[in-house]
Amino acid sequence: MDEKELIRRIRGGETALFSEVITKYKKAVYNHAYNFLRNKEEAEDALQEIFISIYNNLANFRGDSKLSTWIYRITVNTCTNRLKQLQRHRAHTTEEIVNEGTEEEHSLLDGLKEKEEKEPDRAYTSAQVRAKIFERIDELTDEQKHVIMLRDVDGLSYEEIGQIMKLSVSAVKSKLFRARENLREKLIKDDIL
Amino acid sequence: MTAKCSQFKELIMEMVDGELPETDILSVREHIKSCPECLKYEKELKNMVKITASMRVEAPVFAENRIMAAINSQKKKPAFSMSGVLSYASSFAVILVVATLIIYKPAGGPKSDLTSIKDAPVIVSGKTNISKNEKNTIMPKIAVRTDEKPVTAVRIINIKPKAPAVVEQDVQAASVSDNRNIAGKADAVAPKQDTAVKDANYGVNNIEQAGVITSAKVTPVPTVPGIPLLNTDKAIVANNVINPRLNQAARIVIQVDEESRCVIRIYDERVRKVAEILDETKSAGKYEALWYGKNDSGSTVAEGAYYVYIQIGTRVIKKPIIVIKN
Repeated sequence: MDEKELIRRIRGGETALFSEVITKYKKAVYNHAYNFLRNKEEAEDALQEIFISIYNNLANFRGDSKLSTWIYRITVNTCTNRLKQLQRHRAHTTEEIVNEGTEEEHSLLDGLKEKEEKEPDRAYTSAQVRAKIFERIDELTDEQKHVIMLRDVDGLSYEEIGQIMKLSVSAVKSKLFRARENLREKLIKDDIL
Repeated sequence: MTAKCSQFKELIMEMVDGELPETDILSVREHIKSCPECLKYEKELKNMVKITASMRVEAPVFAENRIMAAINSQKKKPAFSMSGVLSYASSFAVILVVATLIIYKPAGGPKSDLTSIKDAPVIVSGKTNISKNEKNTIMPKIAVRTDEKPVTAVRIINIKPKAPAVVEQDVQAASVSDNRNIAGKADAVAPKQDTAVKDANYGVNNIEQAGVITSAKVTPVPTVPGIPLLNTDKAIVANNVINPRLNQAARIVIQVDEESRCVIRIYDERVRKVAEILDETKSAGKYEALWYGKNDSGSTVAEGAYYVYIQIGTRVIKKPIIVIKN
């Protein structure tokens, strides 16, 4: 069943079919929510909030853009709002960060870097390295985080990112470039790159 | 890095992303060949993309159930047909009424009938003939803690199918020394059950004989089409009306047929996660968890209806638990 038919039938009252929409897009939505909110419980709650919002607004979906674009747009907006709420209510914590001493962390990273140079296929799998990378990504602006995730995690094109974030392709390029430069400098300082 | 290099950096990024037109790739490649800085930049960028791309995670397996349940529980619906929603709502209402009627029967006994969790036997398979006297002394109707230590959320005990019996004292010790990290305790506690002591055990059937309510009697809440349903006999929720003030616990027993990822989570009626009891791979066997009506922060939950979501492998089921405080 194609997406238009699926949406038509859900709108027609076959509510249970909405689970097919969830199945198809839950990975993308959850990935974005988890990487943006950096907390499993928050991401699960966001996942639910996003799909409820999609369901409740399905009647307003005109089909001018692709369903995936519309779902991503709701995901980006919901995650941004949710993070603001989180930041208002409590300090934003990174659950995967391991609090290592700086010296110890650097020697660990050095060791990993050497190992990863020898085994490039196994690069960047260490929990500590990932935690540090997450920490650095968290330091980017919300917009920079979104563009990086939409491009690298979700594999979307510049054009698709532009449609989701309501930006021109050149603006997407520019924002992505700045985001990556920012992140690259941080990771070089951390001796990860 | 020259000014020319700065102009190339954006083009290198587009090339790495596969967005640069073929016609431009050649000139960028030529520049990179003659510029070590830009070659280094390209390598760093590729590594960074690899890093960020590795952030992919798996979505929750039974997200569909949770989300559909939340959608169906919404009071105000969009301009869709209400028939499907009403069907779910009526099923839920019937389950609540049936569960309440059944559960209040044994729970209505005198308080002195309640036994300590210390005395609560661990469920193992095998024994079927238990005298009336044994039932009164050994089999608790509702698991209750009597010690003064802070109430822990849950415990998990691996119940080996062929274990002959259980040492009552060992079970006591295991019960009171649990902490909230029940999943990690499972294997540590299990060996204690191997020591034999007569009459200290009973099978799942015997729980029903003793009057403990199992929600296996309750029709499960309909789940989302396409998500395989777990057989009710693989996941039993006994004592599904609990009063945390009396330190009562809901007993969740799962039967794992082969090594599978097992998840046990408690959700409230608005389908918000309250407690995560278990999320790990378990080998074949029976496992028991006790939920004392605590959330993940260790606080007692509010009075109301809750669901326990049980997932074994790819199959899921949800069952109700009622928390009362009177």
